[in-house]
Amino acid sequence: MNQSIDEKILDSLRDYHLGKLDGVEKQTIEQQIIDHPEYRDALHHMATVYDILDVKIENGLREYLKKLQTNSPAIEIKIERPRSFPWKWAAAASVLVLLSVAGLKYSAQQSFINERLERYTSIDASTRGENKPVNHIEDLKTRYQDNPDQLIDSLKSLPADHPLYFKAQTEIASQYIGLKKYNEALPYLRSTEKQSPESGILKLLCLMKLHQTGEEFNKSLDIIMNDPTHIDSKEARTIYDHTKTFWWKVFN
Amino acid sequence: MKVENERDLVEMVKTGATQREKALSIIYSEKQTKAKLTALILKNHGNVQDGEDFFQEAIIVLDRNIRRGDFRLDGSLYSYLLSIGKFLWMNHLRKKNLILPGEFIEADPPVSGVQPDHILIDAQRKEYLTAMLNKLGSKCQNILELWQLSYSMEEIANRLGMTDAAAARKAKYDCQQQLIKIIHANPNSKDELK
Repeated sequence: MNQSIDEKILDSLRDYHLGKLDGVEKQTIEQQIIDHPEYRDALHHMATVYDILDVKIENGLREYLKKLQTNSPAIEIKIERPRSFPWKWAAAASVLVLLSVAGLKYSAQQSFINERLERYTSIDASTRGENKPVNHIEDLKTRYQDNPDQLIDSLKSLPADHPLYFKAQTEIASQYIGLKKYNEALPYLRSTEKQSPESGILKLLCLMKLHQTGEEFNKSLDIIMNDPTHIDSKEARTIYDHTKTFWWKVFN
Repeated sequence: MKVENERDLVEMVKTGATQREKALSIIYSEKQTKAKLTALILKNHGNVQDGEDFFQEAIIVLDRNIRRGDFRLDGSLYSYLLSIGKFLWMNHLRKKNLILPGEFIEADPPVSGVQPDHILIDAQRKEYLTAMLNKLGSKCQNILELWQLSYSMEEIANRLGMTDAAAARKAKYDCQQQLIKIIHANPNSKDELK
């Protein structure tokens, strides 16, 4: 295509391409397109011309909008977050709160048991209605106050017919509890619970510590709680109430 | 032209020249549409700057569609603009593999009449068009740009510092011939298939 096309023809071809012609004008240019192959070529290229100039126009508009952006204040965006987004955070926060509460509740439960274990293992038998003499045991305790293992061995050496035998068995259990050896304490508490009233409640507390609150626990708790003459009947009720709480059930 | 409504804005863009600039400036300053689009983009992996950029790109597409007669004002101009913006952003996310079909979170239902082929230009064709444009001198680019935007020959002469309208007309004709020759010498495979 080396030939130049007349300006009017070019304008007509452009208008024809844009669909602006009708009637005679349209028929005329259509006839010219048929008669002149170079017009046909020019018409064929007209769409491309239009597209090329659009690239230039769009680049110009892009620059113009950037200028407008620079001169206009920033817009305020009211962000409506996707619904799933806050739920995720809410769920995470709930889990954290739940874990925190659970931690506090578990800690409170342990305090409840520890406080009682400490109280019952430090109470002198004489203050709890025990009539048998305890001097020998108290002597041993004083002697081995810094060596609980030695004290336990000494207490174990008392013969079964010794008048302080059951008291010594309870004391062994107390010493094991002091050493946090609840499993070791349990057999001594089981063997003495009928003779030493404090063994019953200590056994319950040890079972609680070991999370063994099944049949044995419930049976013993039932007996103490429902025996109005038992020295720890009221305490057993407190423990019973404690085991009925939601958080107790969660952790046990 | 006094701007009464959205129809006036469309007419102003069609009229071209300074009327078009004025209309596009008014459309750009419509903060609600920009805020809606930005909020949508923020919900879908984007940021505030993306909101601004894609709002501007949507205006560019809107301008092109109005000028080419590919847009008819059946509903709201701004709803149409918002739909273009959404479409452009979705397409951007798809290209970057950031979104799966049906995953896009929208505040409003899409506006009908938004046709993908009226919004997106094939990247390969765009590259060709840009290359052809660059073969044309900057003076010719400016003359033909103004002419395509329906500026009068007097306005073209004034803007580009020519002596008069006749000189502008002559320059326009020469540049037009030049561009046709460039295209003829650099055929695009897609055009040949047309």
